[in-house]
Amino acid sequence: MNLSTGGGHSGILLDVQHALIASRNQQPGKGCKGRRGMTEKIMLAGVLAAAVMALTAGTPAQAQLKHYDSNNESFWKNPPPDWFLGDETEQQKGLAPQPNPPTPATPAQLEANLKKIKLLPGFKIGVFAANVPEARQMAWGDKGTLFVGSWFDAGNVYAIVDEGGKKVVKTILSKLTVPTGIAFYNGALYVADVNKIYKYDNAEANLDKMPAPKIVYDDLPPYIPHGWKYLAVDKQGMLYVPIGPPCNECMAPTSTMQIRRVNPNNGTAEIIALGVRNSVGGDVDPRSGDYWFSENARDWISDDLPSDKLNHVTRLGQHFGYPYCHQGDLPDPTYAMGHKCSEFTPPVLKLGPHMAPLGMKFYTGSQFPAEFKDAILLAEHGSWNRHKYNGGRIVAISVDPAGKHVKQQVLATGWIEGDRTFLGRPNDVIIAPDGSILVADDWAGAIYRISYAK
Amino acid sequence: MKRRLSLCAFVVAAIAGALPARAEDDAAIKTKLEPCFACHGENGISEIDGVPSIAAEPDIFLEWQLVFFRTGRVKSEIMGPLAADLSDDDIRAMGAYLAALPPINTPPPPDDAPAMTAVGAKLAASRNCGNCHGEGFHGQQGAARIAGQREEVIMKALHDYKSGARFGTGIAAMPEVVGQLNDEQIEALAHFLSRQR
Ligand code: HEC
Ligand code: HEC
Repeated sequence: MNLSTGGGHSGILLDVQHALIASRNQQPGKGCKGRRGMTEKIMLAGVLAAAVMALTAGTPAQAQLKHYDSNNESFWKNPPPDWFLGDETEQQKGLAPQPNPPTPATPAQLEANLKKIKLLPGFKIGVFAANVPEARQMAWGDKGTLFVGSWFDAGNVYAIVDEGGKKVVKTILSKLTVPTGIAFYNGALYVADVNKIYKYDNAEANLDKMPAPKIVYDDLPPYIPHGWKYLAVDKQGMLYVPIGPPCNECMAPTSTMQIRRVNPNNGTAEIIALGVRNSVGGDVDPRSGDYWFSENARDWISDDLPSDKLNHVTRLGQHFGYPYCHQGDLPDPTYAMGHKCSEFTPPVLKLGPHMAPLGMKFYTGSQFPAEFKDAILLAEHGSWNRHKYNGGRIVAISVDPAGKHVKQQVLATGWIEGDRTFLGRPNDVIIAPDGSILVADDWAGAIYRISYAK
Repeated sequence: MKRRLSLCAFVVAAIAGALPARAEDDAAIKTKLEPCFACHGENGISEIDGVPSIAAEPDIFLEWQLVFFRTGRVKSEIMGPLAADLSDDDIRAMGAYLAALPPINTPPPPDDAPAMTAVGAKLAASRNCGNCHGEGFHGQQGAARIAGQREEVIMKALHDYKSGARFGTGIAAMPEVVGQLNDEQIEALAHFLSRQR
């Protein structure tokens, strides 16, 4: 029985009517400072957080909540279009997600773009493969094939193979909905496409004609907003699957806002984490087996709030705060509903506002300097809901297995030019067998390689 | 309003600037577009039922439609085969050329259903169509110019988003929008928008 998709839901979805916070709460100048330094720790003034709270305290929160009936199929197919429209503030008005360029960047454009990327000393970046429209999560096959998922407009899964030193990009699956999340385990390719996880056995031997897939899991909601997935796979072949709410900020149905650990062998699942908004990245710590994940915070509060997060699951079913509390210490102006942030698991690290941290991997290679051993390499996709975009970088976060001694460095930056121009949008990282890393870019439709030499 | 306009102009300029110098000159691309104008009308203003006007649409919107037809992401018995062999360069040049053509400027035919126009106008405002489709519904970024588009084309498009035959760019904005509209509302919107200039 499919719990998430049918009409069996009795939940009522509450949401906020327009203009959550009065525009006078905004701090116009704050978002437009220069680029951050190469080494940074946690930023975000608690002062700002306190200011927002002070200004919104005493708002009759319940009065602003709007009721939605999620008790019918059409809600699940097409939830109200509030997730980037309904919560607009006057100050943030006009900011909108940018559509990807229709055609991938040409090799010449890519070369020109990469000249503008700044890296830590000793690191180099080059094009691994061009012409990979809307490239998203990557996974290695056993025999050296790089599988790559894609975003919505493309709807493809690619296989990149080496043919006599040349990288050849094959479209092996097409006409999927949003096949962002993929994984490879034991000869099989897994593709998470919104509400279905497909398994393609013996994939690498069949790149030119993929076998019919088995559906290994489908207890997932069918809506697209925050319905895109990322897959992490652990040593036992279990899949970590994020399930986001279909909105920016709302009390979404209880079968969402969580991360599950799915057993693709028998279709069972357990809830790993609750109170999670839009997570599109995570990895299993090679040291402890714990799951860590990146999370995108809500929009439409301001340019500088709230911060996106890096989280660490240390106990089954921990609650990470959404929709009540953001960034570990900012109660939602409307949805806190009496909850305190101390009730929830705080992030290991605040990553900064509107960074859009997506794919991440623990660095298990041996090419990079010793300080990068087991560091989390994280791709920041970059903002849309901010006047001066943040992100567009690869950051390296060293942290011990308990989540202490956190240090963040910017490994590569420069994919955002001026206030709102993308040269590219890094969204995933994977470690190559030689210890270099590959970076997927869905804006330019390309895969880059970052290597290190003394 | 001011901010949205300047943001839009900025983004469009940035993307145009990122494109390589076009090898094809206007004349060459015009020749390639001639068969297109046979259906889409002289200068891209269609006079045939079911064929959209394509003049003055945003470049990004046009290019995406051609990419969708090429990959089969949007099924069209007519446009599918026509787009199948277009190269990325063709698509970029065609998008840029068509986007620069002047929009429809002939006055709309006399309004046979002003009450419907009024309903459509209200809906377009309350459903925030202009947030994405821009000032005067003239289109911006990935969102089409819907002012002055043919009435039956708008109706078909909205039904296609509803049935899932079309998703649209980015984050499925249009399926979410039409998910909340009934047939009468779709009709009223098409009636109103086709009369805008
Ligand atoms: C035989 C008639 C015909 C020809 C020739 C033709 N088109 Fe089309 N075109 C259509 C029809 C009809 C549609 C609407 C889609 C459908 O119903 O299949 C369309 C849709 C489009 C659209 C999407 C417009 C929108 O607003 O949704 C674009 C862009 C387009 N065509 C461009 C072209 C280009 C460029 C060429 C030349 C290479 C071309 N067409 C040739 C009939 C034609
Ligand atoms: C959140 C942004 C957004 C909103 C709000 C929105 N649209 Fe759109 N619309 C788009 C985008 C993007 C496209 C292009 C989709 C595609 O590629 O097919 C589009 C396409 C369309 C088309 C197809 C045009 C063509 O020539 O093929 C029509 C018609 C349309 N929209 C009407 C409307 C109406 C009517 C409303 C309000 C009720 C509306 N839209 C609200 C973003 C939006």
